[in-house]
Amino acid sequence: MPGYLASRLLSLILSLAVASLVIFAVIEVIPGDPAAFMLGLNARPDTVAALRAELGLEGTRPQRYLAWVGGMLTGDLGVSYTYRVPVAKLVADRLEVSLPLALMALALSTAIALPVGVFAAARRGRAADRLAMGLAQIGIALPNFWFAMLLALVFAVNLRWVSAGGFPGWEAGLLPALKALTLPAVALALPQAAILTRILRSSLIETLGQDYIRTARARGLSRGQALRRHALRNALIPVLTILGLQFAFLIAGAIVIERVFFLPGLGRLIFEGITQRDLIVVESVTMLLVATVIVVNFLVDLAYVWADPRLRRR
Amino acid sequence: MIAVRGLRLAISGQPILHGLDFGIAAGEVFGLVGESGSGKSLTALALLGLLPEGAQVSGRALFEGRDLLAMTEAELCAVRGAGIGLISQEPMTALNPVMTIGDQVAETLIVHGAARPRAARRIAAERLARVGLPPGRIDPGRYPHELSGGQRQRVAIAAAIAMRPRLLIADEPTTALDVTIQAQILALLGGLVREEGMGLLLITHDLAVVAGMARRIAVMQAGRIVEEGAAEAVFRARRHPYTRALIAASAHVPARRPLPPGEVLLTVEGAAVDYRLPRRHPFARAPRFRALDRVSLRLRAGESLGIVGESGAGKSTLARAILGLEPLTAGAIRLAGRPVRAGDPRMQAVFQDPYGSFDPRLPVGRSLAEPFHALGPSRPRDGSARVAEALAEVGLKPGDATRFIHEFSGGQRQRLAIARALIARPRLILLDEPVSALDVSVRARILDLLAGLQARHSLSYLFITHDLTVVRAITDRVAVMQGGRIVEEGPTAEVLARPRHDYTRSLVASAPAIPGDWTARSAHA
Amino acid sequence: MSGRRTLILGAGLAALFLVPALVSLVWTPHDVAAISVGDKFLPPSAAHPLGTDHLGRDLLSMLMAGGRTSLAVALVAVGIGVAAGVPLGLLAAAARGRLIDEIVMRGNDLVFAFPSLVIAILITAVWGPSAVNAILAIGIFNIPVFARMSRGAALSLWTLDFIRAAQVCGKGRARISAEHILPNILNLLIVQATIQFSLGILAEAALSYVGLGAQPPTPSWGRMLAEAQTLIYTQPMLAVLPGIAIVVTVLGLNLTGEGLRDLTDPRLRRVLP
Repeated sequence: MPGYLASRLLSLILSLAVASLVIFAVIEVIPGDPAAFMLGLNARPDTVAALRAELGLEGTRPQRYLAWVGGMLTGDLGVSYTYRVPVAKLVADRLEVSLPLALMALALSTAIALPVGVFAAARRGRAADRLAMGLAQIGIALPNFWFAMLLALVFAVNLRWVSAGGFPGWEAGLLPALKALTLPAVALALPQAAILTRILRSSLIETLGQDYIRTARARGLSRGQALRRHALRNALIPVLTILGLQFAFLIAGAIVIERVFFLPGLGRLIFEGITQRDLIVVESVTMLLVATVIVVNFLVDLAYVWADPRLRRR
Repeated sequence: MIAVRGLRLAISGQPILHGLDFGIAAGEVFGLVGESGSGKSLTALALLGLLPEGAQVSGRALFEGRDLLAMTEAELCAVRGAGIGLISQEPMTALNPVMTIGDQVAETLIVHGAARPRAARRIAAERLARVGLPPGRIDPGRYPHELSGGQRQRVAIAAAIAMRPRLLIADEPTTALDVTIQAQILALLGGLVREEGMGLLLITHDLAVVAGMARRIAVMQAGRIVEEGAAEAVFRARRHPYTRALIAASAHVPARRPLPPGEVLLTVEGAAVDYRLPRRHPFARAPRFRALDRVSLRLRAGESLGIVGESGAGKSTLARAILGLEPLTAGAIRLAGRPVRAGDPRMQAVFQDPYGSFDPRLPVGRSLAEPFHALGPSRPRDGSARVAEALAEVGLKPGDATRFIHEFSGGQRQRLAIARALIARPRLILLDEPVSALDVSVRARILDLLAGLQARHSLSYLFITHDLTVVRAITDRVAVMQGGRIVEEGPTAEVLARPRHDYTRSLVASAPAIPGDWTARSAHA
Repeated sequence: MSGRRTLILGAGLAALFLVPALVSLVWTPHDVAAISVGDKFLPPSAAHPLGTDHLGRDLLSMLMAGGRTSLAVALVAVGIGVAAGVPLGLLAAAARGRLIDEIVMRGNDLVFAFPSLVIAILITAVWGPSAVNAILAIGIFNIPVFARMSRGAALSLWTLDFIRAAQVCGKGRARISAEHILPNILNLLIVQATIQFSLGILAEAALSYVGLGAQPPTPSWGRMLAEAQTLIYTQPMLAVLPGIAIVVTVLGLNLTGEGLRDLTDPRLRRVLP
């Protein structure tokens, strides 16, 4: 096991290093001078020079890369040019929206997929399974932002249960804040739940066909006992990988969904960064998102060790 | 104890079993023998009510007076594991990989309400000790992947006998195991029957195994029991023609005259192969494993040399090295004086798996012509004529060249593989377990074919196998491998009759055999 | 449902909007670029079977032409994934366990860590939004998908005896990959391509919706949805129709892929996700 952990840790560090290099390089290939790019064509030369100094563009590329990475490691993400506040502060503010949203969606999609997937696998081929799988097919085909628009149309405009967008902030109280996040979380979660349900079902069905399920049945376990005691844990091993990958999709999805519901989250911060040509914001926030995905996948690798004793070498 | 009457089975309307009658008494070993597709495994599943969906069963199977076939699912659950235990063929996949072996044995007791978890674990440890896995040596907290195949089969047996069932069904319990391990597992099963007075339904394709174990046997063919009786009587009388054919095939030795030894064709000198193992941590040096340890061999033209050994002995590595597919760490392998390389037209190969030996997307004629690739510019112009000729030599029709591999049976596929090996007119053919996946009757005909081709083309054979009967049937000399080394080598008859090395001795002793006088010709009615 | 029936149903659904998209290359009922504010929000009529939008453009024509963008973006993105991913996957499988394999697989993991939208954002931040950049963003993300799939399928083939037989006949790894491995994984590739194609349509819609994809006046389902969002309370059909087009097309393609998979060799089926 220490070998496995060490190699995973090494690959985590390597991935983070390469990802940061890629993002840095992409920003670097911007034609011309970043400071001029950010200020636009009509900028006065002395403002450009001032920004260059502020951005630390004087140094060589390796120096600048190291300064950027070093800053990130110590929590210094630079200062936003448009907002004139540290990016770290901006990110922290926006995370108050994005993080609960992503977690709510993840919890919701797992809460739906787990029972439905098990249920469908247990009644494979019967009417209930076909219905669940038909719904899952449609769920996968749904663009989450369109689904979000429909939800807003029905629940906010027609039924007036919740507001159609915006975020009152956590200061307004727990309930109003959660209420504002409910529709976005549902819109984000349902298509993901559909994917997860299908994968769990097929993984379970494959596991149920294994020899050890038959031997378990031959020892007197009922169908349900064999499923609960033997199939489920084995079937969850590949599902773990998908959960990790889904996190990446949740992050990307959140960027879009935040736009539908006018939520002041990380996604909106990125788009503001793009329209305002605030490269520091774009660079740091993308790195943060990518780093989150990489770290989550590392955690999934660790979860494997818990789930699969074959990885625990003596 | 169990009496089966008129057991019929159809799956999706396709009849599989046509009315089986047999009975097993307490403390009796009953052998059910048959070739693949005879329906013997499905018989076991039918008794336990574990058939696939779409199966229709009729008849009666009275177990201690109650009809298994008429039971509800809940009643069957109570019988499975408690009254009847099952041991299946594949020890590698029969255990749940994410559950400790102790828990899997204990689970049987828990689901039947025979013990609470703590007590169940204690009993599980006892049962594991009974099957030869005492807690001091093999901790019940271990996982299946940490155990060898034989040990896993012992765990499966412990789980099956945890509730001391009155009947044990063993479906090919030793087919996937090495011969020395097979002997140990059979001895364990025999001991359990004697000591605990269980009945044992032993299902196997191997006549020698039932000859050594069963008091009574039934021979199955295509869903019917064609002959049944006391084991010795069935072997001696052989009343049914199928039984006769089966026994003849299992002891079949092709008629072959050893050719006068020619010049030395293949020399292996001190060949060694190291494999790199996964690193312990990213900065460690990868540990090495010596798969082949300074092996030396000679093979003359027209000679047939057997390489025997159990799994992990290095046979496959040696085969790959000789074919030029595995770089040597040390030593040299020469074919007629030159170092071997893949693509040498003088050497061809036949592999074990008749289902994976041909590209499923190509007509077999195209696959047969593949060795011409090795001839390069001297590729024959009359390729299709040569393909037809090769097909005829292995007993197939020239028209078969345009068919696809899935249209052929297992035996025909192996004939096609031999045809492919012949087509470039090689001098040496390496045969890697070529008959292991085949039924005995098919195996006998393939061995005949190989013997005939050897005589006609003065071929040299290098015959890699784990099966001593095959070695005895078709090789002139034999080399015994263990742990990457050759431990003994000599004329086949001499090595098998008077083995000198301890390992060879245990190998010969472990091989199950039908007692010689049972099959003596004079016994034939 | 049997593979064949799933396939027919799926292909039928996918054709419902993709065939009109192809037709729109040569003909649409009205010019999609023609703006006439006086004709805005017309109800369905003989001249405008689905009515008009907030700029007086014919909705049917917009839907037809919008599919064209989705189709083109998704198709080229799949092409990028296949062209780069399959050779990488075959190479990795042929060199299994060696350094090249390790590098290819690690590279894949890395690309997987960038959600396609993040790639798109990066590209757009530098080169500005356009359909071409959307293609790049989606296509790059397709590469590891195809690389993984073909490596997995190829690895299971490399263990078979017919590959050993080809090696004994002196064929090299590259030749075996091209002559034996590739033809045998072709079915799987087609299935995967169908799935990625449908994912591409979804991704293009999302990118266009947030303004990182097709730019005006190129019509696109995603942008139609973005424009319809503010009008959703008064003109819900403007938001509903393009969404239905996306769902039906993606559903159809997914069913097509599923049907094809069910008709594929069961021995290889399990390597598909």
